Amino acid sequence: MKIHPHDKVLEEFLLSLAERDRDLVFHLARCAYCRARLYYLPRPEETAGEKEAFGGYAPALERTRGRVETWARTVEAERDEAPDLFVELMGHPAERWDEVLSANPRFHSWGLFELLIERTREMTIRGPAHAEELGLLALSLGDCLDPYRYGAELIEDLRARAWAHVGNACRTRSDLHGAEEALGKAFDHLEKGTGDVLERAILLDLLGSLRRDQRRFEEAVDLLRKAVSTFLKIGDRHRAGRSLVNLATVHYHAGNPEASIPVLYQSLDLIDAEQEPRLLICARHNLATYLADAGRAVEARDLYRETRPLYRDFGEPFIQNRRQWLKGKIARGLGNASRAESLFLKAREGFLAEGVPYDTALVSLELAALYAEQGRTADLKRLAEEIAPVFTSRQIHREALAALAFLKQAIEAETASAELVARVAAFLQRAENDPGLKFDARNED
Amino acid sequence: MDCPRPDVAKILDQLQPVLERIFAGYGISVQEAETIVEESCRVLAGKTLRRQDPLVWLLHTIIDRCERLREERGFEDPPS
Repeated sequence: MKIHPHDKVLEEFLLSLAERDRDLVFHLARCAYCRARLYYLPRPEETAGEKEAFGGYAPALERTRGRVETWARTVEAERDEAPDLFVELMGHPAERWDEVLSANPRFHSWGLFELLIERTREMTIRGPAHAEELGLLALSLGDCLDPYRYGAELIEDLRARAWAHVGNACRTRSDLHGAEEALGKAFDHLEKGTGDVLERAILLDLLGSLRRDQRRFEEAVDLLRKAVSTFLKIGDRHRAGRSLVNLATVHYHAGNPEASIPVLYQSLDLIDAEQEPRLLICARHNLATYLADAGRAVEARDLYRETRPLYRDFGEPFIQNRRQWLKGKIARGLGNASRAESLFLKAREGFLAEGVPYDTALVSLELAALYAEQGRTADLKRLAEEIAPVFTSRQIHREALAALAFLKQAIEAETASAELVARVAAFLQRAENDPGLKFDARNED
Repeated sequence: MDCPRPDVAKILDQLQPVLERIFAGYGISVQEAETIVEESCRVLAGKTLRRQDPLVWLLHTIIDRCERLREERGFEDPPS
């Protein structure tokens, strides 16, 4: 059947099944391995003719097996040597890397090619400029590799991945034009590659992140959905979960955090906590935050409680400060204003120590909303004074500063209502990922 | 991403009966089958990229290539 069945047809089909069979269908929907088994089950009794037809493949598969084992041993041996070659290469001044690489055939190895690309990926967050440098070096090495030995298409796959990580590094340091160009090259190489669907899905995911940063949200959603569906097809549930977390961020940046909620719930079923616990805490934390912001404080509290052991595993200030902030939001949602206040204060202290002015401003606005609701004018004025250092920050763009200055004036004039604080806070949240957004003091919502 | 390398030979052993049936079903010649399996396995062994389920990936890749071959043939030689 090539055409997707209509909702009604599916509904009728599901209703016609016994509960046990329905469980089986839902299992099949989630399990790529069992879906793949459908291709050969049930195994009918083979006729003599079929036995002959199938039997012809056995010697061919046996020969292939031998050649593949030889190939696997060759690349494994090159992988074993790669770390030493990497250290040796990095020992030379950066401006000589290309020259050393092309002049010395010892470096022309598959293992080093892969390792350079992997280091590019690993360095993207910590040092995007260095990551880009390593990615370009990998591409130079790719030009030195023997296509007859390694396979021209396989080399193209890895060139595609190298360009993809170079593009991602450009995106991370806000060079969106460079990122666009690099990802374009990645797709060109992928077209000439082996057709590995995993590489394609990874590239779609990275392009989705770029479209998000370019604020081309519809395209980002489309790309990430394709990535999720491809990952699931090949049984890669964890990467599908990661793309869903990415998709939830797109909804958030598009100003639609509530759309992120079902997406993040879905991601929790897919993420492999052992493989990437940081991704799991990120998904759970974001979900609890969006729930609390959407007024679903009880749900947020329950999720937070389940996540407590995971928070304990991540002691770093970045996570712990945001944890206090979330707890404050939940307390506020549950009507416990005094607890919310102390938690927001704790979070704000943490953000000041961490040196993150934007989050300091956002949590201060949550405090301001609490004070305004309670008519605590003196506390509001004190708060306005305390956030003054935020105004000197270079990390907060002009429009956001204008919104904060407007609020400060209103507080000083004792005209700042809870509603006004909420409007400025909403603007700041949206403007965080859209510096081009204009603040209009008359009609801000 | 460092991860245990998939044992391609073992996966091939597991899949052999399935593959024979798939190739026969798609009308793939022995020589074509040999090329498809070898190229797909070289991709699997040639990359350190973590694959959560290498068996499913290999099966999906091989079926995909059989589909494409069938489609190509369909275009070249439409049924009369």
